[in-house]
Amino acid sequence: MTMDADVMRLLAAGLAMGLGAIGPGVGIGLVGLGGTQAIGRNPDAGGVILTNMILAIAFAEAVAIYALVIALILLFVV
Amino acid sequence: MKKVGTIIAVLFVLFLCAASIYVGAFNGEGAKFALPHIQMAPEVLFHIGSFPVSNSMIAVLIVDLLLVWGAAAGTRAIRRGDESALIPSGWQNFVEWVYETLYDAALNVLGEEKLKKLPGVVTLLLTIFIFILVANWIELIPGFETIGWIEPAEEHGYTLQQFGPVAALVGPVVEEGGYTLLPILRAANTDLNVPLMLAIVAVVMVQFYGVYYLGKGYFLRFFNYKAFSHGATGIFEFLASVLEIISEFAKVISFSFRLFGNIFAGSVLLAVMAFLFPFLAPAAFYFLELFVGFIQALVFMMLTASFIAVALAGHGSEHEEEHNAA
Repeated sequence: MTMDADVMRLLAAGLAMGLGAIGPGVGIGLVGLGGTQAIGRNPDAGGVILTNMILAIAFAEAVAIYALVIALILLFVV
Repeated sequence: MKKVGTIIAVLFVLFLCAASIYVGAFNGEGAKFALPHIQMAPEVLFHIGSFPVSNSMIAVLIVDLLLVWGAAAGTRAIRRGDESALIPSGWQNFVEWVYETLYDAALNVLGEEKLKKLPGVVTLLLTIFIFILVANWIELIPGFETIGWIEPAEEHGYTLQQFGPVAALVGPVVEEGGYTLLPILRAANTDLNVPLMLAIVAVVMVQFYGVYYLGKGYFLRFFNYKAFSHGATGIFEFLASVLEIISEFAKVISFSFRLFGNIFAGSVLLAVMAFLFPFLAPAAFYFLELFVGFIQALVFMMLTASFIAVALAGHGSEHEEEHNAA
């Protein structure tokens, strides 16, 4: 299989998104763990905890979105 | 009547399943939907003088008009000074509910006296949320990125099928002589310029509110020369404060790319899903897009409010502020 630029481009796009999703996946899982445990301990503070949890999830997901943008640039902007 | 409705719904779902199996089985022989030409930059529709107008600009204008119209209609009774404005009903009731819910959300982050003291902070946050929400949800209306002008395609395109004055792109991919679609409207946030504009506005306003609330002392956050009063080891705190400047620029990038990435990837996902399995499967992704659009608007607003709270706290008293605001 000849490794010319087009093949490398596709491979790079796949790797970028795939490897870039590992960290945020683990991160969001950990935030969810902390959030649900906190709500379980203190259901009255549920609203505050939920708001902060969603904020933290958005921060973690943003990193995965950066990887996705790189993959999309590789695919669609040559 | 309920039983008839249930039977009709079940039959409709079965029809959709049968149709999707037909489309899938005769791939390329029967109706095959066209994958739109996906590109990151928005397509330019026409020029005014030398200023290019892209399809996302038109979408932004439509969102603006909708927001202004909605707000004007919602406050008409108040502006006229009617007695009936005191007990709201209909659209005014809805607008007031939206305002109150978002005001409460901002209240949780910032605290009441700051909300009252800073000019326009509630306006900024609410506009950010409502603009992003409407811009994201309008993308889901059928026809939003699928109606446009048909142009000859350079690379692989689709064949044309005329229905009187309008035409549709159907059929197998042809290598040359094919056509592609130039959409008239494109979701506002799929153009990187729009999230970048929102991010720059948000970060600049954060600095403005910091200066408004703290005066000159706000810049202590970036050039913490007072750390030297403890001795020469204050150089580390000074460097950490210079890093804050870089962090502000990183916030612009992160705001814009978070919103752009989510919405652009969502629109690409919807197009590809409709291309692969046109019946029923895109419905699940539509729900995902609805959810993602709402969450991104909420996250943008809450992050802006949090950054304003951090900026107002000034240097060194950040930890007390979080307890006070709760």
